[in-house]
Amino acid sequence: MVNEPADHQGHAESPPKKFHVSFFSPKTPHAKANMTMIIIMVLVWGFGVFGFQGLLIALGKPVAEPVLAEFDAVWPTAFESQAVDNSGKQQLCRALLKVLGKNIAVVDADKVMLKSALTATLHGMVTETQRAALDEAATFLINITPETPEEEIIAKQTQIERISSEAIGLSGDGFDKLMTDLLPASILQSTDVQEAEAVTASLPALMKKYLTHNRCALTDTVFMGFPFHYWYTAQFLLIMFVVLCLIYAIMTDRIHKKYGYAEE
Amino acid sequence: MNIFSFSRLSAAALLASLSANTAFAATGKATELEGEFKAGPAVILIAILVTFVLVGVFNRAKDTSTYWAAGRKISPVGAGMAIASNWMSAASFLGMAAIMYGSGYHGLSYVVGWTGGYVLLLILMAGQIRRFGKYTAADFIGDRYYCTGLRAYGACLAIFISFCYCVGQFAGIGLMFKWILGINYTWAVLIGASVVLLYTLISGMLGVTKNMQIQYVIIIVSFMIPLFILAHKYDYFTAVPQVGYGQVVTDAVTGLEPGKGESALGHDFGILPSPEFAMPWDYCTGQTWFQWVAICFSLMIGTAGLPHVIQRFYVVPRARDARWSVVWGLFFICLLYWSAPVYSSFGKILSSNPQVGKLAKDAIVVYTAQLGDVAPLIVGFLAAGAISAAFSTVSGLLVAGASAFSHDLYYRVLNPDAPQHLQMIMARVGTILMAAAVAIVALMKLGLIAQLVAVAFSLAGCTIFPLFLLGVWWSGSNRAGAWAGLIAGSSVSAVALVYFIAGKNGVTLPAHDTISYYLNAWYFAWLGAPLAVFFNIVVSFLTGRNTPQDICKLLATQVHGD
Repeated sequence: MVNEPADHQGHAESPPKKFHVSFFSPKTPHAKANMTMIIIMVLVWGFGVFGFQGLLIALGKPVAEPVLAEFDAVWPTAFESQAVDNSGKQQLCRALLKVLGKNIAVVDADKVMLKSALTATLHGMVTETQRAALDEAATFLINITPETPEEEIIAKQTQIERISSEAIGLSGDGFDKLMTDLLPASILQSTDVQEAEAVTASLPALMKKYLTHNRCALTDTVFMGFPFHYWYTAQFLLIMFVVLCLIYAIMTDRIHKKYGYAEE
Repeated sequence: MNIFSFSRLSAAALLASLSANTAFAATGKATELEGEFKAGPAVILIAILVTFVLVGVFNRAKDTSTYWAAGRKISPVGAGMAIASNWMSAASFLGMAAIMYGSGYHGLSYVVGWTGGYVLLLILMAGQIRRFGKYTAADFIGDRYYCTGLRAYGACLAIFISFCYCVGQFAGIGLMFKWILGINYTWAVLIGASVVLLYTLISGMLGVTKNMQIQYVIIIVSFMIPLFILAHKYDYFTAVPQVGYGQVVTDAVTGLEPGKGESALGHDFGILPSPEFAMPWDYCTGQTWFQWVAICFSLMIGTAGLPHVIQRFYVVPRARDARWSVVWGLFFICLLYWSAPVYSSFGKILSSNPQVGKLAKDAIVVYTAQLGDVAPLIVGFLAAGAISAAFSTVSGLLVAGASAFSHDLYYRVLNPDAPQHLQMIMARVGTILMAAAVAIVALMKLGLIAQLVAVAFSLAGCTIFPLFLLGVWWSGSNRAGAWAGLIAGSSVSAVALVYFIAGKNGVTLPAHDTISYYLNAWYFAWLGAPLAVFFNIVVSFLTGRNTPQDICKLLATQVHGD
């Protein structure tokens, strides 16, 4: 494709050579080789990055963590009914703690709901004295200042851990230990516990949100320690980019040499 | 307070982490970012700053060509290091890990987006831009589309983008100075701004480029040392922590029982099952796959359109060096980008106990090292590395912004007869003006301007990238087409910008949720860039593809070697 010459230029006896550049209609073998290479590179780049994400989108299915089923089995009876035996309440507490254990992934508004449910359930499992002790410790902990002696803080934390872990039936090791460690920051003072209706209304959807994940064979395969899809995106794609650039630089040097094209 | 470049994401999960969460608040006793004067880190910092200025002094710019384009005397490996440290800002260094920490797999779209763009830049443009042979991005636009208006528009875009980008960096420098020297934020910004301005002024691009190489070494060494310590301490594959952290990710997904040691605060190194850290577009992050893809694409073409990135190709002597410098540059960048997720993985597990609190995103890398009980001097070196990262980016941005002002606006548009020495003066005036304006804005803590950096990538992708792409590869693209494409890209940007600013000020506009979702500040280029290319092509055809023959000839012979 050549540009139409402007009218007044058309009268020259030997019209000057018309120059035109268009990526998709290369005029020389050199430009053609260049175009082929660039198209291949862009395709590899595009499929490598977006093709794989497309696979993840296509294959991914929402899969719930086992905890969600345990939660659904006892919700809402264990929370609302005083008549339910303690094992149902314990199961509910564990499920709530497992979501609170995600800590940074849980937004603050949701944490309040989870903590409210946990505190209310726990209050239904302990004696009146223990309940007062929990409340007292929780109130103390939210009012600490930089001047508060460390021993007192630790004493109150231990108080909460001891009473609650006994009621929930947490052993001292494994995940149970991690859940025990969550307790001091998870038990609210009674005045901070949200209304039961608000908790009941929001909790099922909230648990589902935090306990359901998009999974497929690509995410469940472990490769070099990584979930495969994570390795592919975080490491392989970057390696692919560097290799693509390397190949491009080498190939361009070769193409230039082959067609005798000297830069500058 | 919200400081680094990509500080504001729309994600709900991240907003929570943004709300200046005081880490370690619950126990009260542990290290805080406010901090007092730290002798060891301070010595490291001052030694580094003195080096920067001395290097600047010994590599002074003698004329405008040196000031703007380093006299084109840099080797590909050296230029690659400069590309890398020019690119890696305080945000890459300190903040990128925070996105993965806060929203898991979603954060990887930034890692991929900010590296994949260099592939596009290399295979589509780098060598050709160098062969076109100008000084600045606006230079190319003005000459290729034979239009002074476009040149001025391009220069203004370059100044706007560089300016917004710079504010975030200055604020980052302030934060780290404050942490190391224990001085208040105002003094920290003033000192940081003075040092970076001082050596940019006396050295120009050559001194800056030399410094960028030193800065790269500091950045990468300081970033990596803590990784080996963390991997060794918690018994992961230590020889290459960038591979060893795979097990950390898997441990976060399946849960990790106590028994691998403790954090600096005495909590077990363990976590309950947290698949949300690694699973794609997890529900609790509030991010969808569309956002992942759109961010990734927008950042890629945005990277390839940023003025201070494109401008690096003018400092290499030959087109072949431009290509090889990208290969090296990308490799050097990837070294850091391979490492950043390691911090987020360790940070995720180390802060799994709510008593630690959610780590404040501005300094997640430093916090993670502290939580992992890494020696204070090494953490100090890490902070000095963050300052190097911010410095290298700021100096590149100052040169890019100042050259758009003095070369493109003043010399090429306002006063084409300006003699050499007057141009040099204007280059320096431009640098001072830009640095002063940025420092003032950083001091006023106008959060909004620091957040505008989110817009910078997509804006560059919508405006500058299409002009370069078509300008290099299709001589039919003419002035009218360029204007049409630029207006289309700018319109999409303007809509996104208006909704972004309105959203930040709590104003609700018509169809707010829909437009905020599809034209989010971070990724509106997925729509704007293709539109800009489309209008550029259509209008060029309608107006007869009447590019002057001398420009077609330049493209055919000099740029493509016909």
